[in-house]
Amino acid sequence: MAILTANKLSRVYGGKRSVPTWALRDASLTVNEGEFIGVMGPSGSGKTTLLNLLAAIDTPTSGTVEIDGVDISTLSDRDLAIFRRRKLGFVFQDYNLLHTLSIQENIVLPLVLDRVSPAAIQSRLSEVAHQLGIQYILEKRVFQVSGGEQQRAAIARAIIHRPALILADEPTGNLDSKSSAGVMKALRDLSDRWGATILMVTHDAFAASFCERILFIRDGRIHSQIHRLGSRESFYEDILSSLRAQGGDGLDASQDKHQ
Amino acid sequence: MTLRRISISNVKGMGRKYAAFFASSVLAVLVFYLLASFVMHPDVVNGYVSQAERVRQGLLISQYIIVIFTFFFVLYSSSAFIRARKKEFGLLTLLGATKAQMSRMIVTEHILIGLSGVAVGLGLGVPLSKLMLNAMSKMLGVTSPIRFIVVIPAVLWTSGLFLLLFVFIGTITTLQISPRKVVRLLREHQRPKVFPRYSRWVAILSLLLIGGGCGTAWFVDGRTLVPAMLPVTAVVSLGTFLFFAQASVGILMYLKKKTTFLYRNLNLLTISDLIFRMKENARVLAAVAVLSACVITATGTIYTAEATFLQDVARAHPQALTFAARGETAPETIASRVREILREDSIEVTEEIVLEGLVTPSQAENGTLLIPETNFNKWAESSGAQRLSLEENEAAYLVPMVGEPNGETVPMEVVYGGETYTINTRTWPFPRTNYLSSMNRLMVVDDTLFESLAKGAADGDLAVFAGYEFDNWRDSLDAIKRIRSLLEAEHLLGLRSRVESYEGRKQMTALTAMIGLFVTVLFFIASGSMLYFRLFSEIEEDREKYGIMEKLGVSRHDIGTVVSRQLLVFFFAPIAVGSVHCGFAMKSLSNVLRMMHWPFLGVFRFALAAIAGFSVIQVVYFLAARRAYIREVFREAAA
Repeated sequence: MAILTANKLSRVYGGKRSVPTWALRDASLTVNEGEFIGVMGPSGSGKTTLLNLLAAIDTPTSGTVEIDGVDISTLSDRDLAIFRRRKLGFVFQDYNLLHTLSIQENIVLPLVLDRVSPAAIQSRLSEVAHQLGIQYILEKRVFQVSGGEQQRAAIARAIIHRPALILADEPTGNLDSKSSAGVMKALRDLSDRWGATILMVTHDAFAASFCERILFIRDGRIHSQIHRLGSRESFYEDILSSLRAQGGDGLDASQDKHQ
Repeated sequence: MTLRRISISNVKGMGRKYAAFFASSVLAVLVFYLLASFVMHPDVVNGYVSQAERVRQGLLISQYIIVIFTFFFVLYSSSAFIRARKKEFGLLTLLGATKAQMSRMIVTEHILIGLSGVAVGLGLGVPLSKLMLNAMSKMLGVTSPIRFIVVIPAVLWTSGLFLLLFVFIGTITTLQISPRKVVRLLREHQRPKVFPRYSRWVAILSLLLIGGGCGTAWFVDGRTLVPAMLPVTAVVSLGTFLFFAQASVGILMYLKKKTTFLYRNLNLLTISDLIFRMKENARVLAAVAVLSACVITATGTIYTAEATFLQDVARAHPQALTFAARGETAPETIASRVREILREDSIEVTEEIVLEGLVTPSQAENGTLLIPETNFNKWAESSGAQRLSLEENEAAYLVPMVGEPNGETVPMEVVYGGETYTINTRTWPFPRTNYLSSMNRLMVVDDTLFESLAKGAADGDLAVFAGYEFDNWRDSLDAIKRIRSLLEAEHLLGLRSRVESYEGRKQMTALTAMIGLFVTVLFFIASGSMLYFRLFSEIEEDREKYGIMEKLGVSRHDIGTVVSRQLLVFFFAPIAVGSVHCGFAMKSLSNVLRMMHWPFLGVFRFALAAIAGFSVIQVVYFLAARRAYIREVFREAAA
């Protein structure tokens, strides 16, 4: 079943005075329930624009986004807020944990916003903390834990309310290779064992190799896609050769660090 | 956990950023309560403290000023807080917070800050109000100090008003949040800062505006002061803003071109950063500069008023002591007793006038003292004044005059003891005395006329008029009080002394100065906290920047130096500009008061004293801010 359907999304910046630029042109994609999809492309290819449109942060110039059967462009501010806190989970490159709150308080935030009962919050918290292996840092302040731990806490926050779709923007962008592997394994695990639906934007071929399907985006168009058939290691090689086939500027220095 | 818990954690977690804002709010509450504890004290309200009425009005006005000022200060600080936290609200929006939820969070935070501010302010205010009441009692010269109690209406008013203020402002600031906009801030990676645009013409315009305004202030006089005041203030304020936004950038860019300067002593880091800082904070810096100018000028004016009032007192009281009394005791006895009292307090009399006569009309308010010619001449001889020789049926009014009396006489009817006399009157020179409403005319009559008048006189009509001058009159308060009670035992017609009037005015000026000091210190601390806050709102970026510098091999010590230099400019540029403005305002004041002949810098010395005082406060602020800032920058960089 399709969780997310994007139909012919376009986004044009500028206009009137300056030359209009097409950040995204007729991008269509479907994400099925339980799928773990990666979106890759060089800087300026339109990855972030796509993610912004899918998260209703930005409005498309044309085209529609449907998540869990709802056309998100039709929602009012209030309904959009409720939609976000029930249906979407976000993971960011720079974690975006609130420094004034403890790790635990950060994680439960979506449930608090949704006025879930304290008992239910507590049980969900111990569940996700266990899933991500971060029970031991719950009481700590944000600046007391490492980047990898912060990102796992951010993932916990993104899944605590069992969203229909998790959107991740370069989740390993600020992490070293060891922490990256930990975070990606955690996401993979969410997908395998709990059936979470994840859409991840990344530069990093190593991170992308944890996905089941990769969409390549270039100059605002969805250009090609590859499916994972065998092991993660062979998928990694497939991704690298796809990138190579598309030309040098899709390559990132970080791709080589895991070889 | 609930939304309320998040608000609590937010307030706690932002302790350092909120610190200065919180301290200023506490101070506002504190000062307001101190004033209210007097104004609303039951003894004052019920009129048991008669002296209080005079100062109540002034205190009330100060309270209004404090509330209005606090309103704008909190409004400014709150909206700046919200702006600085846009990213946080963006995140909350993405996590699905509705606008209503975020608004509730902000209002809750304001209630928390308001509640704790009121609690701490009152916690300090209640014990301190004892000192306040004692000080007020002393200044007002109340014999038994106003009793110390917790003034319930004052507590209620203070807490109610300030809580309302915080809730109201919290509600207003929520209008700043628009979910559609904030959410973008979170996702857009930080845009690089654009180099400040600089226009030489705007920089020149700013100097012209300031110059024009100050020039006008330099030449203004009593007639033009009032119409000129507002336009000049407006022009100078605008000029000051443009100065900080443009001219400061111009100066720094000029320094940047001087490579010999730029490449020395970390100047490169200091200057290039400062250009951004000045431009971005132009509004705050200009506001603080204008505010400082107003406050310093007000303080200088209060001190000037205090210094000029001595002259006023002297002008209104040509004699140290003047009195008129009547009764059975012979005038000589009264005079000698008065002298005795003065001698007891070792007060040296330099001039003495004692004239006895008949008071007329005997019961009226505006009396005339009829003095026999012999009596007057006796005094004239002993004091070296001009002797008077009167024709029959002639009288002379004693008046202060310059030059020779012209000798013309005017016939006048005087009713005394049931009979009407027609007397030729003229004027005769006499020293200036203090004005007594009960005996405002002195008339010398020829001895024969006096004899016949005296026959019709009642027993108590015999009266004495006396005036004294002594140098150490400021120490004579006690003696004057004893003289007053001595004379009241007789029948005192009137007594005015320079020292009593001086003491009364001194109380008022001391009070004004004290209240002025309260309010100005409040202003200063609040404006300092605006700077403090601006500093902390940029700390995230700064931390990143200093992190990079550290990686490049700039030592923490050097970073500290760069920070100190920038903060030095940040904190002292506004007060320096404000001082210059104040200098011109004081020049206007001195034009109006015509006081340039005053010794040592005239009125400017008062302004200088005020500037010195406020510079001290600013230094303390600077040191505290630098310490907190450097600690905060390195705290998380190390984690």
